Amino acid sequence: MQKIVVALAGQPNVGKSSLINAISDAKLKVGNFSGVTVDKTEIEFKYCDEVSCQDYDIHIIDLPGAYSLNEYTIEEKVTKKFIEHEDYNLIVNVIDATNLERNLLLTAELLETGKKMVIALNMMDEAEKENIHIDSKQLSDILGVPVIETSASDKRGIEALKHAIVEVFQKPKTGSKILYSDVIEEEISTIVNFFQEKKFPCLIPHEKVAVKLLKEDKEIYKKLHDEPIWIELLPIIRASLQHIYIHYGTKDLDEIFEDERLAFARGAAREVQQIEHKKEKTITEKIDDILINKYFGIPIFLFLMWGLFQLTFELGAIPMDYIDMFFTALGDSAKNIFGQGELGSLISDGMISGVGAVIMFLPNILILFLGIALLETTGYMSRVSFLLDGFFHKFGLHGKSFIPLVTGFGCSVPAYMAARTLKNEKDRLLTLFIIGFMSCGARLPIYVLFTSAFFAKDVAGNMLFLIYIAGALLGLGAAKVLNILVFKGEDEPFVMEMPKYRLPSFKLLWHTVYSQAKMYLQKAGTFILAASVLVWFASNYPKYPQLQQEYQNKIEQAKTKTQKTELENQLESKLLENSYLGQIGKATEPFFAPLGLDWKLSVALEAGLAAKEVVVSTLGVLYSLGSVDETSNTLKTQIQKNIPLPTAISFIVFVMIYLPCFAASAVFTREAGGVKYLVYLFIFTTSTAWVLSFIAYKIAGVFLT
Amino acid sequence: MINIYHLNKGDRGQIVGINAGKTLKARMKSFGIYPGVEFEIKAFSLGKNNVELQVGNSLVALRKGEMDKIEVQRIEDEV
Repeated sequence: MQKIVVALAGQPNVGKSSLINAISDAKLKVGNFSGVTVDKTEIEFKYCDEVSCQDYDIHIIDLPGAYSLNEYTIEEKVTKKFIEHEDYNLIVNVIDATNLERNLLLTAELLETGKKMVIALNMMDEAEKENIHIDSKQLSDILGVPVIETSASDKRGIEALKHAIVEVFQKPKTGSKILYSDVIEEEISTIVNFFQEKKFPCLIPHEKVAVKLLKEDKEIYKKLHDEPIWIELLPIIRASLQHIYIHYGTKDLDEIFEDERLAFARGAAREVQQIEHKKEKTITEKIDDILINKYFGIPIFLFLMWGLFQLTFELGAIPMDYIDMFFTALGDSAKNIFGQGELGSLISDGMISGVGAVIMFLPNILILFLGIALLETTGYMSRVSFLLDGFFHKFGLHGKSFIPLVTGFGCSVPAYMAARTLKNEKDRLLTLFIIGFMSCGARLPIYVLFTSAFFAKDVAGNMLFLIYIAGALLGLGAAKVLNILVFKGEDEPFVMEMPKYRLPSFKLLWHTVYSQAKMYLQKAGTFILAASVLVWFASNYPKYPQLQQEYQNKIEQAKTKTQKTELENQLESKLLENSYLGQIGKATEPFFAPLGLDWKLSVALEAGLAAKEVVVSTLGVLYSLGSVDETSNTLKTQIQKNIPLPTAISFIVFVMIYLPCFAASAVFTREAGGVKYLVYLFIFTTSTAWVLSFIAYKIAGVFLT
Repeated sequence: MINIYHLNKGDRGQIVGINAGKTLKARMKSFGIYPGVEFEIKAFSLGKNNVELQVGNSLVALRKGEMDKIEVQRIEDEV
């Protein structure tokens, strides 16, 4: 069986993904392009050519959407690199029939590579509805490659496309051509004639070599440089370039060829397409009149967001409870099987609870990503950036930053992942860096505990609100500061297509959500498993058999039940105090001392690096109360008794700003593209948290004592 | 000379010139924005911070910074 590798290329929003999803009986593989956070989808299917009775194994690699091969965005870089350097047999270029001229611009660039090619003229059904008539036969004649009319929604042309792939694969050469203006064509034929006279053997057609030479393609120069023909070729090229420079009045070859392709695309589009303009507004225009209306646009969007978050966190909470129950039960049974000893504790408290914490977020992630996928595939997401860009740009952010930032109020893990919608590297990094300022749900118990301990019931709610708002404002301020100090330089331009509104396809939605979920489980899962074992180890070791024995005896002698629990709690507190975690807390006490925090609060903060849920329970253990939650009155009283208000404020400010948790850190590292960014984030958040806590502590000290 | 910022919603115009660096110029070209092209203003966001243009058969959004770089002339409606 022969293997055919196909590179699927096209501009964004041309329905590439829908098209490959429409190929039935295909195996789907999802992953990342190496080194970058760009999703890579690959499909694989068998095809039997009935004429030659040969079986083919066809692999299609879905390249990221690119408007051109300019290397403007990460997606374009990945696509360009793949097209130019990877090993594949042919290109399938998907073009949007309703937007022929602009799409042909990329086609022209692809034709210049000299690779074998098939064109899928997609969205033919929409084009027909819009009264756009395209003569695909004529287009095929102009471009010299097969043009197949397709439509993912009514599955038109899928079989024909498969057939064309095999047919083109079998042909020895491509017939692809691109017609330049007379000036350039003349120079090309001069060079080609020379090659032919010299009978120069070449793997790719002479025309393509000539074009590459005129475009000053580095690689072709490198290759020809060592050939004897070079010495005679050089003056010919020099003369040709001179002619071109004089004709165009510029020596910028990139621009000359850009304009050439533009003219080619325009010419080809005009020749093959007929558009009957309709007077009435299109559906997209009608929807846009409402959704990006100056006054209603933002309220409508806020309402939709509110709905999405209600769904994410309310609906998501239901399975979350079950998952929690399941893992608690699993942990208990693990203890039954492996015993209460070291192994049981490692498996139950370390591994199972760690993995459980990761899987708990899965429902949230699924719902949120379904929502985001809906916003993206319908074309609404671009409108959101349009509406909000004015506000966010003031802080150096992008309109699309809104969604990850608001998601951050729920949980940082999906928020970091949602930042993927930002296509620009700088915008994405900046957004990633400030997501942590949006206080996530797991910090809520800490806030509730402290506000209710220090404030009357009716004020506590307002204080809570204040904490959230202050966090968000701090985040925007931090964005501004980072933008001035770190991400300096000129603003990235904002040139963005507003795609047509489209109904989402179920298959495509499912595909997006599935691949996101899979990647989350794979990457975050493995890392968090290791991290949670580490935390378990740090809080359980070293062991103190003597101390335990001592307390065991005391507990046995204790008369009442209350005495017993009191002793048990004391033991737990002593063990934690002397564990590695406790030792670290004590060792780092001087670092936290200027903020008014003692070693107990330091340990709580450090444990909070693993997960914010741990902070309250750690405080409970340290104040010898056994397991407690934020509603515990005894813990509240202990905190009131032991912690002065300025210290409490300082503690809260620190919690607001420093790293969210292990899970989030792991996801952040992946999304930002390297561990070094996590180091930056750690330094940035910790120092900001320290400085602001210090200021808050001092100010509170002056006013409150 | 006027640029896109000076037009209003519903106005039609033609691009006269683009005063931008090489990369941005190329980027705009790949969206169909280059001298000679006609367009229509579909919408402005609050404070004219962003614009939605119809160019050819596609809709493109720009920020104020980019609007300033595109010199245009207004196409008056035929009466």
